[in-house]
Amino acid sequence: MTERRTLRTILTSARVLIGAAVAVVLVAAVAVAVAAPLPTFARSAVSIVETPTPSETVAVCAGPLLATGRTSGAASEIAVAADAVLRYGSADGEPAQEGLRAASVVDSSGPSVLRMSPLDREAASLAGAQASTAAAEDLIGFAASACEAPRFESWLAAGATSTGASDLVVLSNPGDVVATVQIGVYGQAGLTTPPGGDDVIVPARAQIVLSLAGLALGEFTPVLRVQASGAPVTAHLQASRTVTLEPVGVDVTGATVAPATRQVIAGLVTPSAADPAIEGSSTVRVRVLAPSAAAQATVTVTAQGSSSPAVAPAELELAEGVPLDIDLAGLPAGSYTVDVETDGVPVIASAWTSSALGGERDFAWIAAAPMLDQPTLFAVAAAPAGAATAVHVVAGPEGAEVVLTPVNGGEARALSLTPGDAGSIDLTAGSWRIEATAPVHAAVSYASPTAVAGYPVQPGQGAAAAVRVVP
Amino acid sequence: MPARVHALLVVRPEGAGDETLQHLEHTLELIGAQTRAVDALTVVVCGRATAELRSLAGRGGAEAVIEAARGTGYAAALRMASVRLGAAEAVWLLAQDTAPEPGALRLLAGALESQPSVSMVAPKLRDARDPDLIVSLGVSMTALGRTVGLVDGQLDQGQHDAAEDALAADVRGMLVRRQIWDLLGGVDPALLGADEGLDLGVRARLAGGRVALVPAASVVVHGDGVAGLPAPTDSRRRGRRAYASRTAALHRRLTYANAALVPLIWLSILPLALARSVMHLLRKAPALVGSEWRASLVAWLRLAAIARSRARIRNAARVTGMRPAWALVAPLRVRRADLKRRFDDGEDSSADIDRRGELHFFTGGGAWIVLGALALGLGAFFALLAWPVLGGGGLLPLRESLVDLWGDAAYGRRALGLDEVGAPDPFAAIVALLGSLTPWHPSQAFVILWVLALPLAALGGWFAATRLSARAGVRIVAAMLFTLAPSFLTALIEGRPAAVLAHLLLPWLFYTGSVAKRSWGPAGAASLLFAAVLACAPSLAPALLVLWLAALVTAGRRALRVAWIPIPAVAAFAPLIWERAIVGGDPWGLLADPGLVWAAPQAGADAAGRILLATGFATPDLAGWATLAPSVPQLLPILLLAPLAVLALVSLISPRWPAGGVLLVTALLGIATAFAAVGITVQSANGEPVALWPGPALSLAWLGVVGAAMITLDTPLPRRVRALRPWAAAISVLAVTALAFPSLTAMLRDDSALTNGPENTLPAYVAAVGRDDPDVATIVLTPLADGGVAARVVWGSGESLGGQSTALSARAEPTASDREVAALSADLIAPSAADVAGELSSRAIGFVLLAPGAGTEAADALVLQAVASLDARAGLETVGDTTRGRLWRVTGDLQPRPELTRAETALQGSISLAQLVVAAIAVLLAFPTAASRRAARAEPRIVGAAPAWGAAGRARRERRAKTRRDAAAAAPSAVGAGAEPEPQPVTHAEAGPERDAAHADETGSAAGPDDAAEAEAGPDTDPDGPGDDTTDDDGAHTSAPQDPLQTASDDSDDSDDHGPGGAR
Repeated sequence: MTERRTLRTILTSARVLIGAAVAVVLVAAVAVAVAAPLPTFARSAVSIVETPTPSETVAVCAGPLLATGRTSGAASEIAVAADAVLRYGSADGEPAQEGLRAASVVDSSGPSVLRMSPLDREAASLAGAQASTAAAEDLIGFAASACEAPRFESWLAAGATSTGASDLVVLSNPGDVVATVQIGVYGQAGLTTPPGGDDVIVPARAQIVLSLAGLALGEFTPVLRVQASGAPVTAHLQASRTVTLEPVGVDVTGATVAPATRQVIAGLVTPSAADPAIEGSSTVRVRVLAPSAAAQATVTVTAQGSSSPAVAPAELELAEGVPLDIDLAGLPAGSYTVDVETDGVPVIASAWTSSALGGERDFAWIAAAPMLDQPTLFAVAAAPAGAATAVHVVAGPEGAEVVLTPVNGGEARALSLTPGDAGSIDLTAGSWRIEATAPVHAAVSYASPTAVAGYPVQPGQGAAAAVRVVP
Repeated sequence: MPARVHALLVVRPEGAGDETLQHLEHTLELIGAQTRAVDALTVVVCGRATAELRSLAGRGGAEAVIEAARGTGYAAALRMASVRLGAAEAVWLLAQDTAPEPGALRLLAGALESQPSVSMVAPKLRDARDPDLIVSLGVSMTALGRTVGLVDGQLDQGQHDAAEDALAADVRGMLVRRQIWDLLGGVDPALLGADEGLDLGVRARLAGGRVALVPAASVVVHGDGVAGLPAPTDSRRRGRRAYASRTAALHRRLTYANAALVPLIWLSILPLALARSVMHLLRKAPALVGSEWRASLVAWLRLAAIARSRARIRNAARVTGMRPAWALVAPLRVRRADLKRRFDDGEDSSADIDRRGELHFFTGGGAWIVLGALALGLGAFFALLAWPVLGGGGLLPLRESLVDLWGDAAYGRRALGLDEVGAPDPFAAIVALLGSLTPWHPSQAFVILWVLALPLAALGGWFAATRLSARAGVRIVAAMLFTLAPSFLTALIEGRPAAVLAHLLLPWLFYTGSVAKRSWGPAGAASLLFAAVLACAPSLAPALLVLWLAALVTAGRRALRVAWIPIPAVAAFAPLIWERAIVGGDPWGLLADPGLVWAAPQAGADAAGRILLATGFATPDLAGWATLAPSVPQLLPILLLAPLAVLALVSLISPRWPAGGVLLVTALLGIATAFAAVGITVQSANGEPVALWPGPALSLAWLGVVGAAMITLDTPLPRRVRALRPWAAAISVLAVTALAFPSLTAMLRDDSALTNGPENTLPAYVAAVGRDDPDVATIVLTPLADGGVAARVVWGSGESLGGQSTALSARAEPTASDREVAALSADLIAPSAADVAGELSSRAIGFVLLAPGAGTEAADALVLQAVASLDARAGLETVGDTTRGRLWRVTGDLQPRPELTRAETALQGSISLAQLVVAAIAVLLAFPTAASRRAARAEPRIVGAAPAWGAAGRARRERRAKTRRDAAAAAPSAVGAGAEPEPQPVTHAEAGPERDAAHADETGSAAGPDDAAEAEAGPDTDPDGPGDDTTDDDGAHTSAPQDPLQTASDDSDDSDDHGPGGAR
């Protein structure tokens, strides 16, 4: 029996010892596993970077020159004053052209819309421009504008509702659904949304015309912000002035560049110098607006081919939302580049130029020129006899070698620009392709004593931005 | 001059041949020693007649040795030998293993001669291994044709020595009048070896003869299976017996039946096979299903054999000039009442063993702890009682109709994605099952589940503890600890339905799986639970498979039951495995968590995260402590778990250290799985990678730790330290309760992810349309923080829990339809020229929903752009802003969603059928019957119990094992002198001196006689089987073990200690 007891004791002791040892080993194993760099298996989420099918390339032209108040008893009736002559072209084929319904204009076939479907998941290139010459009792002058793509937000920095001005806002919706537009007016009181600019309905495939005076009465320097929802719209502004019953010019201008800390206005041409003897007859004005915050802006005007400012740079104190016009008196005739730079607050800028001779006169609003960083198509509308037609190219800080090629075949033109330099090439009407080795700004100008006009070259639509889709 | 007797002896050399030769030599010797010598002896060798065999036969006085093909049956061999009968007047049917006692032939021949009306006489067959056991003496059948051995398996005490007349007898040792032999055409080979004597006897009766028994003549048989059925010593022989018996029964039925009924019987064979398969499964005898079908198919297809056998009866009748006289047979059939009277006793005698005792669920406090947990659950989740749908976290509404609910669980069209057809997650079936519990509103089921989660966990924990301890207190502590597991409470608070279900199912898997090898019932239940747990947490598969393999390896002869356990899971996962791993080449994706995937903080795959996991926490906020009391140092909650961990580790030095060790290994496997899980990232939610949720792995670890701690608490302690036990239990329970406090109060403190609803994941407008037409899809675009967009195609009224798919959430590579969705989405959010509306309507997508964005600048920009381009698009109509985002409707006519193709429908049907069959088999196996419950009572409830005497008990057990080994080779008296107080019937097994020891070891000490006895006494034990009409094999019933060894109280976990009787 004692033998058995001894055996029991030995077995129990062994069990306790081994058990305790195993327990320690277990705890140690877990501890080691905690500290050890264990391998992991991870794979990233499935996601696909997908480039959307590009949209149809659409360019909406402003349409014919319009006149108001021609019919007595129907002062608000809008009639066609002069038809527009269209020039367009594409490197990818023949664009489709169609008219938009212009219900508010009497006897109008409506403005033209140019469309091209994308080719092989790349947006088609398309450019168009139109020109019209008015020679009526109430409207005289030459106007040229580019056909532009519709946008959800457009800025119009042109026109006035002072005495003698009869300006029209032209909104075109080339899309298939109704667009609802909010027009904000920046004036002396800052940003206001006039009742006439609230929830303006632009039906599908239609154009509407609004009187600027109905939106901003008594404003000398209005800037409009056009915001569309439902569908994008193209906004143009037709400006015309009458001085003591005598029309002094007409112009159609498109949207200027969205607020940015630097704005470049290229191709500002004054056919003649201002007559210093006449007060307020300056031929060049620049309109600047800081829409979101007060800003300090420097406006530098440089003559083409010169490296130093033509006049002393103007230092501007801009209140928030209040546009400011500055006269650039004393500029000799020539082509200029206006450079607006701020202290970091985005601004809007545009320029006005006019031929200041007595008798027949004309003026033009020139919108700021966007930066072109890839080859772009632009169209040059036919100029009236005697008017010089040129494209002005402003180089960036790197300079640029610029080549202009006619889309329909023909001899290419080259231009070599040093940093910051501006140059111009005279062109004939047609479609051109501009290609530069570095980003440039460009604008088309028409200049003669009776015909002043100009519009910036808009960048092509480019490829749609790719988006990461997690299916 | 007595009649000339020609003995036909059939030999079939099998295996090594040693045994055959031994038996043959013995038989020939005894034939030679007959007091009335045979007049002629023909030996038929089925197989190659070796020189040794020939010489043996020659020495034995064989006239001729006929060599037959290897596969020749007894009947065919006899027929071959019959051509040599010559002038013989009686045929003696012998085989290699039928050793007639010296006076046998004299008595038989005498009986045949003295009674001219007797066609054949049969001796008493006795078992070679236990000569006191009658193998057969007279065979009859029931009205339906079921074979009944009249006195099979009884101890021979001379009680049947007066028997004279029987319907028929076993074919072995039968002496048949030559005239009758020729008339009947010998033994029917179509019977495949079973019921040959019965058939011969019946046909003799029909021809007007009689069958006489000569109990005084005795033949000793070994059961080699050359003539008659083989003794059921191993599974192969048992299978052969079942197959031959069933084939013979069906064949006899087709042969004996009225000609008009034959077509009906023939048509009933296969349906009957199905019904009997169900019965075999219910009786926990799945091994018989295969032979059942084989036999049925064979009997069904052998039309020619049926015709031949029927013709033989007709011919015999024609020759004797009388119609087959079934009226002569009828009185000799066994009546049902006789069966009952004779065999009822036998069953009762085996049912008395009860080593289980009362469960004490009510008296032991189990009911109270469940009630307490219910109160706790009601308190913690009181708000849920009023909620119709549970949402938040991984919870989603369920489909509203049962058809859709189960449709999601079947192979076919998926509820998400661009017209995907494929395999579902098995979890969908769990969801469907739960949803079916509240068919009026399936979503309600999960609300109820959440309220009942705590009591259900307590119930599961308590029952799991009954496998570890009989102490009421220990069980209660286990129930409490299991209910308050941090990972479980976190899953409840965060809304992780799969993890909650896995935690609730794991204790039941332990409860059934730990005894799976004992019988088929728990094995069937465990297989279903195994599948359910894996469906809820596929990441547990490696750990559970390791445990299963260990169980399989240690299961010994009962391995088949353990082997069954993963089969339903394999059936459930097979389509997914095929699609994902084999065709898709992405085995990692199989580990993905089912259900809705969303990014939530969880322990990371670094040292800090692993410390949390090793201490039982799945989240970095320490089960809510970090948010409730940020000032409490992180160490405190971890320390609260230390007492439990110490208790668990102490189990290694307790007397039941093997059980403790297994449980701690389980815990280690759980922790290792958790470590691995947080490092495996195969899924993503809205483009954000999400690692596997470690909760179920921690639940497994918790089960192991709590179990091991219970082993420690269950340890018998000396009186002076006994007071430690309640203190140890109380400290660990209190600590865990303190730890559970933040989780249990989270709902009250409004700190839980659970929300009331939503009823639908899509705007009400879409939900209403989707309810009417489930085949309209919505593309849901969600702007992401980085400016990307997540796109999802949802069919019908919205996303549902069962409709989620890991095939979608755990893709390795974008599929073709992913690219399509991506292209579609990109075109939708950009002002593209593509005809997107047309694309949408051609894909049956009726709605576009732009969900609220992530709120970042990039997301806002995307929203602006997307709204603008969607607004501007022709073919889309703005429905408006809803709570779920901005909605557009496709105005054009939608193309109908493509139906499944013919091939897909066929695949759907066959996959569903196969899965249903496997599930049905598991359910039938798991379904408790009176017999299975009786058998279960014979086993202790506890697994891995240590003997009460610790090491001494183990020594005793070892000694006993040794005794048995000795007994295999030695005389029975050696065992009688062993430690056991009772003499052992086991000794029967080793009695035959000619048996070699190796064979005895292989079949197990108690296997031979027990099984043989049961086999022969098959009908004895289940006379109540409805429609049962044939000899049942041994596996078909569940008798309690006869082995007195099993009555010892120390049931151990090593299988070698059990006899096969104990397994049933």
